[in-house]
Amino acid sequence: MKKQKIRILNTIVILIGLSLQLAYSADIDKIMNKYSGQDGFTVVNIPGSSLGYVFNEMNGSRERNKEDDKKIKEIAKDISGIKILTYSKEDGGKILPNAIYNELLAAVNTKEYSQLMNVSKKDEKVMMLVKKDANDKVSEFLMLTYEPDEVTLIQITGKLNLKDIKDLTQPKENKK
Amino acid sequence: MDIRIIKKLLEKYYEGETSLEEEAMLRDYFNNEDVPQELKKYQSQFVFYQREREIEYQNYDFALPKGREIHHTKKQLYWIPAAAAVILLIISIIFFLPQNPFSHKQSNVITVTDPDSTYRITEYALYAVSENLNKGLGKLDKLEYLQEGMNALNKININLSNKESN
Repeated sequence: MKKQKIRILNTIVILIGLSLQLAYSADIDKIMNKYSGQDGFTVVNIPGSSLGYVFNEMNGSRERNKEDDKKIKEIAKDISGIKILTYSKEDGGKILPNAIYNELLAAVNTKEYSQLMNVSKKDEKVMMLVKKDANDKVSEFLMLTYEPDEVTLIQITGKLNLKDIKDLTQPKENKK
Repeated sequence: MDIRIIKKLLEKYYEGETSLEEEAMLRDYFNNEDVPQELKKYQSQFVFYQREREIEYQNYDFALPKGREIHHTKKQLYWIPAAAAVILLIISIIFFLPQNPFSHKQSNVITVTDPDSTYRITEYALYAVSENLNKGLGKLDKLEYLQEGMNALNKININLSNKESN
């Protein structure tokens, strides 16, 4: 009887956990779906299957052999999904990008993330957030940027090594 | 009853092929009718079975478990939390799925599957993140240099004031 009770409780806990997990992971998807199709917005989703095909099966790209491409492949092979939302006045957006930036920032449930960086200047805003797994490894990266004509929200999920990403554009002489 | 029928039933009985009705017929025969000598050896067995069936126990020395009731309660216990969990999951799916399954609005999210586009967009995303990481950290580096400079100045000031006091 006790064992059966424990089994029932375990099932309930797992189901509640799944529900919460679903709720959390759906947060960014909800935002992306909300704005997709609206004037000025473009939403692009690269599923894990596409990434896996390009960076694991095709070994990156057959035509590319540059050093940076190798780095991209190394980083991308552990990524399970990329979602990008861009808002641009050039694409027909009628609302001020600054207002969109604030709206998106308010829509993201920042309590679920740790803040990695927050730059706030008149013509440039960057908010970087990360979510870590049980092993304290970055499992989700979120970047929201504002420029006078454009707002971009990038979500990258999977095993992420931020140092490798940072090194992509760091000049060699500055590397530590 | 015809003794030949009884003999056939006995054969079937000992081969384990009799039905419940046939066993009842045997019990009835051996308990109520005059049994011929050749079948007497089987009579005691069926009389014993009949007596055993008629005994009704009333005063047990121990309490019998209420098996059926417990089973019933158990079943009820299983279904309540299970049903609650399923309802919770369904509600979660409806409310938290990125696209409401009951909504007819079409998603305009562009899903990229073409290898070349996948590569280029991944490259764009990673470079955008990398540049911003470096921009932010570059500012931190500048702050560090500034702090180091301030520390050096402080050291010089301390040395100067020490010399003056000497």
